[in-house]
Amino acid sequence: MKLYTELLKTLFKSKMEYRFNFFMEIFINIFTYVVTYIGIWVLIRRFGSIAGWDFYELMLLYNFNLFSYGAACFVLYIPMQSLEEMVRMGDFDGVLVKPMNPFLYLLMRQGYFGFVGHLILGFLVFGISLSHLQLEITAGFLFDMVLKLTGAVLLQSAVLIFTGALSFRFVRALAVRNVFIYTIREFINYPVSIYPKVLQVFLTVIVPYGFVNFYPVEALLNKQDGMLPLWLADGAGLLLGLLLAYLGYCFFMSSVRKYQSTGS
Amino acid sequence: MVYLEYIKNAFKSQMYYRMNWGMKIMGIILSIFLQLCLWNVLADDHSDIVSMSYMVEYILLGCMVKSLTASNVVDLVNGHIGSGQIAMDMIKPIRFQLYMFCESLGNGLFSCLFEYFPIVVIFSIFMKSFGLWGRIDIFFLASTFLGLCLYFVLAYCLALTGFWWTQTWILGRFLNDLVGLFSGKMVPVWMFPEALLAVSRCLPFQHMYYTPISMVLEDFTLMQKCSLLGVQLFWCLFFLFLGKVIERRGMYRLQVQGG
Repeated sequence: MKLYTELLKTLFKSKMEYRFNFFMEIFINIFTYVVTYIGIWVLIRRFGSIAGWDFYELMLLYNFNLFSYGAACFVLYIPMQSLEEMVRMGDFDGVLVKPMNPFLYLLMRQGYFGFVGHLILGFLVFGISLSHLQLEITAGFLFDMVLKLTGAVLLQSAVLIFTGALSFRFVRALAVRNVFIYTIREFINYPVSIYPKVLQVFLTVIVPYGFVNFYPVEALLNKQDGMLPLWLADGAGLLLGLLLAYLGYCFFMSSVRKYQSTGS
Repeated sequence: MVYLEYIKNAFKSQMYYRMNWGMKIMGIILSIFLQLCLWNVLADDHSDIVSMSYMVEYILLGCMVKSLTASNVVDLVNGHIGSGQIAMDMIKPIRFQLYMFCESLGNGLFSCLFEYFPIVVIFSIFMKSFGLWGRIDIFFLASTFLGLCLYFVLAYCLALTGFWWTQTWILGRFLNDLVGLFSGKMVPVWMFPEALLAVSRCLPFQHMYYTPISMVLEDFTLMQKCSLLGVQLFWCLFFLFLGKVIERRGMYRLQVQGG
């Protein structure tokens, strides 16, 4: 942890050499999602709600996805994204000769501060949405929310690790990665209950993105809408996140053992 | 003709990565499906505001228009500026801007014909909107082409800032965000609240996406259609001129290292 903090400090200093670029990267990440919130606001202004979810409920739902994605990507996005090129060029050999766990070494080498934008906006939107929802905000509620967010971050991390590790097996895995990280994740921008049953099962069991935001927020709002009972929606996210993140790590390490260098 | 060859080259280079192609197809299918699910719920609950048949046609036509602007013009142009390749491009007997346009058009045509079109046709059969194809006329085609040109010339202006600033991908994303909001990609422009609609009318973005679609879906008179084409042409010429000014100034700053 100490080593990782040192790395972040060094990375931060190097980024601050180009202050304008640094702040622009954060700004654009905030701007992109502000535009998405405006899009949702326009829809709700015209239609009132989407399947019974009003604007602030949808904000909270979307924000669980955005915040957890930003937190997971802050640590994992660049290491997993750069893996494909490292494997293809044989540069991963350099990681293997270091006297430490290759997974941790990869994480400590790189990071991307642009995702700070997701986190800043995430905090703001949590503040706005929670203050407008008729919820009793107690310490217990906030603790419960932090646990649910932790589960969401772990789930997003698991997807990043699983799809990143595919590079060891297929070399060109970026397209598969993009489908999982961008296209399928888009489905949880809206309540999972608006989709046909088959897709709801897919987002609950096969690629359990539903546990990133829909089920936790459903439980926080005490709003039975999905296919799972509320008690299961309430607690399953964190456990599933822990399990899948661990399995993702195991998959990564077993994939590393299959790595065959392409370098000379 | 040399520019036709550039279009062909861009077309062929897209064919090499079949795995990417398969995944893109999957992405497009899922993306259309997601929009249909969302609008199905909204149209079911609010049939007085919009009908599902209208939204199916809007989404499918939108996919065709969107496919032509699939190429990331800012990255494409800036790749040439950042790498210094532009110095070689300048000594060739071709116009750099037209060369970039052809490359972008080649990518767009590939995306349109081999990625979006077959999927859109299949969806139109399943969603019982096959009659849509009979309503496509010369105005839709002309407006789509002008929309593509407008996207290109605007993105080209932003890409040219690469002469001064290396991080142009930020501007590319800024443009795509604005296009996403104001063009009608997220929500049809007529559903905007009055204030947003007023802002949108002063900007060129809706002419890249909403205007071509409205040529088919709205009951415009011949005069209205011609005037919309005129507005698109005006914006194209405006950004074409602006691009020329920026290009001329940028060239004075160009320094290429290496021998």
